Amino acid sequence: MFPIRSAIPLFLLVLLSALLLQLVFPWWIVVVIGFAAGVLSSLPPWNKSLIVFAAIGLLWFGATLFITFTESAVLLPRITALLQLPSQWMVFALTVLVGALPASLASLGSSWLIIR
Amino acid sequence: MPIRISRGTRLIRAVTLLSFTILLAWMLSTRIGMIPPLGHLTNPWQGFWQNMERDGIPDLVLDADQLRSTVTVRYDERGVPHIFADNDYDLYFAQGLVTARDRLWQVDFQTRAAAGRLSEIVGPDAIDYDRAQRRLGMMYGAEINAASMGSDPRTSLMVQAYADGYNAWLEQLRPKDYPVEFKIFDSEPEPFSPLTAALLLMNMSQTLSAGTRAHAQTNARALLDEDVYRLLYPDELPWTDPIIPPDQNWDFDPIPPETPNPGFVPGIVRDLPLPEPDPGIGSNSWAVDGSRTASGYPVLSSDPHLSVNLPSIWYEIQLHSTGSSLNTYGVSLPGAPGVVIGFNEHVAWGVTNTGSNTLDIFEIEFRDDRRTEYLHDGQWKPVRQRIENIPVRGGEAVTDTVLYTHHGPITQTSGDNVAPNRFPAGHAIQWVAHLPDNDILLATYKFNRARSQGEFESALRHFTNLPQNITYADRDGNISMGHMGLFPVRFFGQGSYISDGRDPAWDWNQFVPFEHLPRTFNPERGFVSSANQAPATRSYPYYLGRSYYGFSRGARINQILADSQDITGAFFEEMLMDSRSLHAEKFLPFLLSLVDTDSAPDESPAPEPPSGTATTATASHGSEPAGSTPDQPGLNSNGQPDHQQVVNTIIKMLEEWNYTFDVNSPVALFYANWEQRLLRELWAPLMDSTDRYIVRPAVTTTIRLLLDGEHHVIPADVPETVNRTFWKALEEHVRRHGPDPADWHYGRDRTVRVGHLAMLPGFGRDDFIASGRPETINATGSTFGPSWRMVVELGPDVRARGHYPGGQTGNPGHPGYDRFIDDWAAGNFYDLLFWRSISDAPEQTASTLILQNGNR
Repeated sequence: MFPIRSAIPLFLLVLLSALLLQLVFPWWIVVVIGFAAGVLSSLPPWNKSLIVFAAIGLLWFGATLFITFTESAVLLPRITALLQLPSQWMVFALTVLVGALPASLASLGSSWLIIR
Repeated sequence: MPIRISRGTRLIRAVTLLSFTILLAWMLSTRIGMIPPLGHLTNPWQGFWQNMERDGIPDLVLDADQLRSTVTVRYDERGVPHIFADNDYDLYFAQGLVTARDRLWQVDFQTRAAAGRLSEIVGPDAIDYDRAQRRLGMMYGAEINAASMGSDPRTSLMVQAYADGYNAWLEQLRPKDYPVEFKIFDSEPEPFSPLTAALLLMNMSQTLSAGTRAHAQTNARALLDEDVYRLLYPDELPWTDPIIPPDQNWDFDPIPPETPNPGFVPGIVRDLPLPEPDPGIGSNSWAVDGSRTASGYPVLSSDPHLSVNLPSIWYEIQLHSTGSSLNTYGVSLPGAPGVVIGFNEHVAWGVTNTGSNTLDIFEIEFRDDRRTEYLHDGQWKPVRQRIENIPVRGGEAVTDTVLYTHHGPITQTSGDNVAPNRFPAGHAIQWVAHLPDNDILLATYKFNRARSQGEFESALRHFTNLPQNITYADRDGNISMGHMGLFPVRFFGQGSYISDGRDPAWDWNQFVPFEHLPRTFNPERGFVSSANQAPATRSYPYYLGRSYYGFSRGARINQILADSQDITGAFFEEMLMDSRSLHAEKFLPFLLSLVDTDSAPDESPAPEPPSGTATTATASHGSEPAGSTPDQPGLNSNGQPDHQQVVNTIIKMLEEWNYTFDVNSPVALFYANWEQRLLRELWAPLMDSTDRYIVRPAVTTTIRLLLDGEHHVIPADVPETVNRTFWKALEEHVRRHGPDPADWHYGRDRTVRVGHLAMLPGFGRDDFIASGRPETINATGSTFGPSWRMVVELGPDVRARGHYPGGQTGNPGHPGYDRFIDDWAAGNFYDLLFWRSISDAPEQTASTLILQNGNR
C-alpha cells in the first residue's frame, strides 16, 4: 500500500485518520498526520500538501457545518465578536485555516525531508 | 520540470519549514496574552464548537455512590430544575449537581474573584485586584465562614452534599465538555469544597456590605464649616418615609453605647480608595396583609437590585424533600445550597440591603516603622501577619503580607510598598462579614423550612453577618419587616466617620440584641415595605448609620400601597414596573420656573440638520422666526432645524410630563441628562476645590436645599447653572437624537446592557429596551437593575410569578442563555411552577434527570 501513489487514496486516508484520531487526541494530531502523509506518499510535494490541506479543511468544515445545523448557531455571533472577526463566516474560515494550514505545511516539510 | 537543488539546501529547506510548522502549532496551542489558543478553541472536536447546543435539556441518568436513595429532577420548560428527594443529603447533592450542570464556570469564576485568585488565570494584570481582595480579608472571612458552617450538623451536611454533587458532575466531564469560557481562558475547573461556598457568600457580602463613606464624610467634614456641612450632608435625608412606621414604640431598655475620648480628630485621608457603596445596589420589597388584598391573604413582592450580568447572579430552583417536609421555590446563589429569596407552602420572604454601617475604618497608630505593634487602650499590642500567596499565570507567584489588628486587616491598597520614607497612618477595617459565628446558611436552611411566624422568627436569629431587611408574609395572615443582622451598639456618628483605633470605646464591644432590632409586625396600615431607606426615625434608640438611600422608592411604594385595596399579584407586577420619579416630581417644576427660554447662549451652534446638508450658519439665536412648516416639525421654512420650536416643544413636554421613565416617553431622557448635568455643575466648585476624596451631596439633599431657597450653600449660581445646563443638554440631545421629538424614545435612546460576568465581548446582551431609572421602583439603570422580580400570593394554594434578566443555562452556546431578558425588560412575568409532589403536573416536565445509586 505504501508509498501511496495516487491522490484519492491519500485524500481519503488523511481524512479518515484525522476523523478517528481527533476523537482521542488534541487538534495538533492533524499536524502529525500531515507529516506522516508527506512521508508515506510518493506524490510530488506540493500536490501532497494541497491534498492534505483539502482533506483536513473539508473534514473540519464538514464537522462545523454538521454541528451548526444539528445543534444551534447562537454561539457564532458571540465568537465572532470575541475574536473581532468581520463576519460569522470568518469563524468557519478561521477554523478551516487553523486545521488545514499547519497540517499541509507539515506534509510539505516532511516531503522535502525525504526526497532523495 | 523539477529543478535540481542540492541535497543540503533541500534539507535546510525542509527543516526550516518543519520548525516553522512546529512553532505555528505551538502558538496555536498556547494562550498569548489574552488571545485564546486558537488551535484548541476552533477544533471542532474539542473546542467551542462542542459547546453549541440545541434548545432543550436532554434526559439523563447518572450514578453516584454517595447517594442514599434516588433523586428525580424534573426540569420545566424554562429550564428550572425541580428536585425531588427523600432526604437532605440527596437533595443538596442534587442541587450541587444541577448547579454545576448549568453554571459551572460562573461558580468557578466568582469564587476565584472573591478569593483574589484571578492572576492564576488572567496573569500579571490581575495582581492588583487580587492583592486588594486579600487585603480586604476575603479569604480570611471565608475561612471563618467555612468553620462556622462546619460547626452545625445541618449546614455541614448541606455544604458537603452540595460539594459532592457538584464534584460528581465535574468528574464526569471531559475537556471537550468544559464550559466555553474555560476554553477561552485556557483554564480548568476546580473541585468544590465548603470553602468555595464560603467564598461565594463572601462575594455576596462584598457586594452588599463592604461599602463605606467614612473616608469621604471625614474629608468633607474637615473641609467645610460645621453649619454648611450639616446642610450639605445631613444626618437624615429629607422626606424619608422610614422602613419601620414612625408611630412605632420601642419597648425595651437600650444598651447604652460607650463614650469615646473627646478630641479625636481623624488625620485627613487623601487617597484611600476603599469601595464606595454602589448607588445601583439596593432593592425593593414589600408585603400587604389580607385587609388590603382581594383574596384576604397576604401578597409579597421582592426585587433585589444588583448588577445585571450573564450568567445571572440568580438561579431558579425548587427543593422538595419528603424526609424533612421541605418544599420551597425561589432563587438560589450558584455556589451555595438552599433557596435565598423565595417561598414555601406556608411563608414567603424578601430581602433588601440595609445601608446601615457595616464596615468601619480605623486609624491605627503604629509604634514604629516596622509596624509590628499598634496602640490600643494605652498598650502596644502585636500586629498579626498573614502571608497571602498569589499565584500568577506565566510568572512568579507574588507574596503579600497583610497586617491584622484585632479590628481587622489593614487595607492599604496595592501599588504601595511598606513606605520606607514616611510613617503612614495605615487604616484597618472592621467588617461584619469577618465576625465569627456566621450563621447565614443556617438561617437560609430554616427559612426554607419555616411553616409559621414563630419558626421564621427562630430562623431570623441566625441572620447575623450579612445584614439585610427581611420582608415576611405567611398564609396565617401575618406580615412583618425587620432590619436584621449584627449591629454594634454605637454612639451617635460612630462608624460614619473614621474611627479611632486606639480608643476601646470605638471597638465593636457589644451588639444590638435581637429583640431590640427595628421590627414591625402586622402594622395597622396593613403593609410593610423597604427600599433601602433609613430603618427608623430618631426615636429608635440605637445609632445605625447615615448612608441610606433617599426617599424616592420607599415613599412611592408607600404612597401606592396606602391608597390601594383589593390588591392582587397582578397589581404588584405593575407596581414593580412603575417608573414614576419622585425626584423629577419635586424638582422639575422648580427648574422650569427658572428656565428663561429667551436666554439661549450666543455661541450655541444650530443643531445639525438631519439630512446632512451643510449648514451655512454656525451660530443662531433662539429667536429664529417662527416660520416652521407644519408638515415638518422641528424644521423651519428653510428646512433648517428650528431651534426655538424645539425649545418650545421640550418645555411644553416637560410641563405636561407625568414624571415617568417609560420606554415611550419622548422627554424622559432629556430630563435625565439635564438633571445629571445640572447636579454635576452645581457641585463642581465644591468638588474641584479640594484634592481630598469627597462625594457630592445627595440628590435629595440638593433638591431640598434648592426648594427651600438655601441657595447660599450651593457653590454655583443657581439660575445661571440651571439655564446653562438646560441649553447644553438641549444641544446635545438634538445632536444625538435629532430635532424631531417624534423620534425621541426613552427606551430606544438610552443604553441598557447586560454584560458578561468576565466582560467577554459578544457574550452579553447589548442595548435592549427597558423603562425605569434607579430612583424609581423599576430601578433599571444602564448596567444595574432588578436582578430578580418575584410576587407571591399566599394562601392555601400559594401562587407566584417572577422573572430575571438572563437564563437558567450559563452556556452562551445554548438558546436559553439570555432567553428571559426581553420579557424581563417588558415586564412580562412567568408563572413559577411550584409542584406539591413528584407526581404533580407531569405534563409540565420538559426533561428529567435521575440520580441514583447503582449499589442500592
